[in-house]
Amino acid sequence: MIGLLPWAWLCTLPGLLLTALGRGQRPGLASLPGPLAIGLAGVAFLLGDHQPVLHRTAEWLPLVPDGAFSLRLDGLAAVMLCVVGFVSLCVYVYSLSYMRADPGQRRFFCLLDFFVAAMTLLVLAGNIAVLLAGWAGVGLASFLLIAFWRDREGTLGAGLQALAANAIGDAALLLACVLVPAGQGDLTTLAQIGPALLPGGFGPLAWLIVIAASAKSAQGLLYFWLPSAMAGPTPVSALIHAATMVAAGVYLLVRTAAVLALAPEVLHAVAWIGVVTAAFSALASLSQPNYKRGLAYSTCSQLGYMFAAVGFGAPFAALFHLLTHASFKALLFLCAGAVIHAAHGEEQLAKLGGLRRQLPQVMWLALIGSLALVGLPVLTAGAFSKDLILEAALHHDPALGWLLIGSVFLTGLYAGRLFFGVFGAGSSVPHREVHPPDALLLLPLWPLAAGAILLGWVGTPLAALLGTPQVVPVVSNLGLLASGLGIAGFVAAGLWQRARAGAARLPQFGVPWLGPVTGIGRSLASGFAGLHSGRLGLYVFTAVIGTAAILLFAVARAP
Amino acid sequence: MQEQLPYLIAGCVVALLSAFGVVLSKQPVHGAVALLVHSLALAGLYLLLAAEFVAIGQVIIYSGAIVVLFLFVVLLLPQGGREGAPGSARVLAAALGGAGMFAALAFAIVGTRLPASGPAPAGGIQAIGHALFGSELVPFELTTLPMLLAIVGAVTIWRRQEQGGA
Amino acid sequence: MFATFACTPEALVLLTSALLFALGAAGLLLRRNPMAMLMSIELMLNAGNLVLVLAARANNFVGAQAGALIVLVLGAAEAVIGLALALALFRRRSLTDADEPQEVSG
Repeated sequence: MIGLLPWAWLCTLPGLLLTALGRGQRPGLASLPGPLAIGLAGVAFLLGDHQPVLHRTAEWLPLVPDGAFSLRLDGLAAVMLCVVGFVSLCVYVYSLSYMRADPGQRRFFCLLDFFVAAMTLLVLAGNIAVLLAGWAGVGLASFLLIAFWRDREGTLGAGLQALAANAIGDAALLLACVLVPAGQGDLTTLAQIGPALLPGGFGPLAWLIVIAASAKSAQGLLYFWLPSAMAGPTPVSALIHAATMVAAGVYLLVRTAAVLALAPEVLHAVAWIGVVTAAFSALASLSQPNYKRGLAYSTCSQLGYMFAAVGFGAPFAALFHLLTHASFKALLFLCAGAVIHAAHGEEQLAKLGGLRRQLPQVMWLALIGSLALVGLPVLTAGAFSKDLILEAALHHDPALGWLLIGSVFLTGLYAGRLFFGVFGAGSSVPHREVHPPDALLLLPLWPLAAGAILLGWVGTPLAALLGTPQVVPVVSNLGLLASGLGIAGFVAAGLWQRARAGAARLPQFGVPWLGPVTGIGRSLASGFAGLHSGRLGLYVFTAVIGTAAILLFAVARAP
Repeated sequence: MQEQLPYLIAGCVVALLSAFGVVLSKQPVHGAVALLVHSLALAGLYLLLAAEFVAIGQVIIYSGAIVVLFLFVVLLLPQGGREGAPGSARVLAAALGGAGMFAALAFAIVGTRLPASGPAPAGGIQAIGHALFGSELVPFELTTLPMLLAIVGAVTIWRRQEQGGA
Repeated sequence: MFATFACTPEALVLLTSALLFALGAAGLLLRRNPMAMLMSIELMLNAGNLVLVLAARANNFVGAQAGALIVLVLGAAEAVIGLALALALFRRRSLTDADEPQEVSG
């Protein structure tokens, strides 16, 4: 029975067939058992005896040295199976309601089934050849789903962007596949290949892996396709571009962490790429007028955290953050979908607002997701995983660590901007007809919210399970500092939104980070302008007290 | 300097009392008179500290010119410049500022080991002249700038008054 | 730190000047009448002058006395400008208050 578990990637194919053939009253119902089975397979393995299950058939793929068809189910893969299975299940149920009125519903569910199958194959891959098959499959599914609405403008272009980035990643992975000698392609033992057998040592292999992962996870220069991918339907954004496919890059890095450890300059580069992407995407998110694009940049930023964790030599932290992030980011995206659906397709933040009274359940769910993103200690899972990453960062490279901590403040800012921009009171948008969401749409959001709150506690048992035992602290000083920064940013964004209703926007010149930078400048300036009260008494008082203080300080310091 | 201690104490006390008078007097005229007394007390202190020329300068320039200028302006202001009673916030700010400043200065003074004074500077006016035109020439020359500014500024302000009306 | 403090005449004069300076600062913060504020500023200047003269006496340095003269001159210049401004602004108003927002135009 256990031996069948690696074949879990086939679970969605019956659903795909049934949906494609037009069976069943409601398209998509037949697909529901698929992801559920995948998730249960993961759980079964984790609760079982944790022995890795391997399946290997030689000579499946010609022309590459190691073309065996190898499947592997171990602790890491089982965790990913749980993520893919349960998040997909929530998205499927959500899509039953969301896509109800869409003529292409059937095609949608077929494509989702195809995607889940490819993603599961990717996760269960035992060697690079099979990984490549899954990799290409998810890329294709991503393209087809982004460009799902063929009649809308811009979706095809967005899909092609995704395909272009994917092509770069696929090429890198193919080259890595070719580099690996015959019989030694098992992903977990890549580090044990004798250096003489690898041309150029482990450096080129590591670089190729990193490039492939960056393409898939929208890191560094290859970030461009992710914000454009928001042109697809929201369930796609939640599933593929938040929780699972973009996490595949991180999964690959975690899988091959041993190889990266043998190429320290590549590891260092990964840390840099992660931190820089985290910071810049957070800044960019601040200037996005589109709700979903703001969330897309947020995903980019959080993936940057995971990359950085790998770069700092803490792959478990990256995996843990992947787990919690899947939960709260999917929750945030699905809430965004509910809002957009209720507002009849309106996605621009400027036109959404003040929805607190009309969508109360969605607001609470979005609040849970936002607080998890920001990292509220103890109560949300995001804090546990983020703090683990920050600890590793400060331990390994303090400069990058502090930059990452600064990004936490930016995270709070953009999360607050998105949340208060949509749900905050005091908006200048007039009341409009809002289509209330039905129960089926909101039902799958609650398990995701529960995950966003509770998943932090599985950290320590999970680490023990995966063979890298460590204690995930509930709170730590660093964690409180980071969370404080994040909450401060969140609150600041709320205050800003309240004060800013109706303020004019600066032109962007096509540079996404120009807006936030000038905004920071403006707020600093108005803060200082507040000192110009015009009251002479205040000036004199400040001068006197200041002089006394400086004098005291100088005297106290002198020996 | 020890033998002059009683006179020093007397001079300091008068200076302090008249300073209180300046700060706390309701009518500016009373304050100006207190300022006069204060400057004369300081002139006495300078004499005790063997700075005779500075003492004379204090009497002539300060008491003779500056305080008289103050009195002139007080004369020209309507009702001598009556002002309302200070609110409690003001009093608190003043107390805080004054106390803070005194604390800082006293801290510095008490923490410094002041050496005993040697002989008094000799040479009288000649010595001061040598200093002003010798080692302190640059500051001496630079005082012309503020003086010029004061003259030009005062004239400008008054011209505007005459043209525009307050 | 307090152990090395001895109540010498020099220390007495220094403390007096410190107190005068603090009084001037307090007066500046307390009063609203511009005349009173200017007089408080003069108090502070005088306190500084006292320290200079004491330094000349204690260190046998005449340059400090020259400095005291220069401070005197500067005090006079500053009083001139301050008084001219006060007169210009408050000539027509009955209640003189430096905190009132003033329309200073032209």
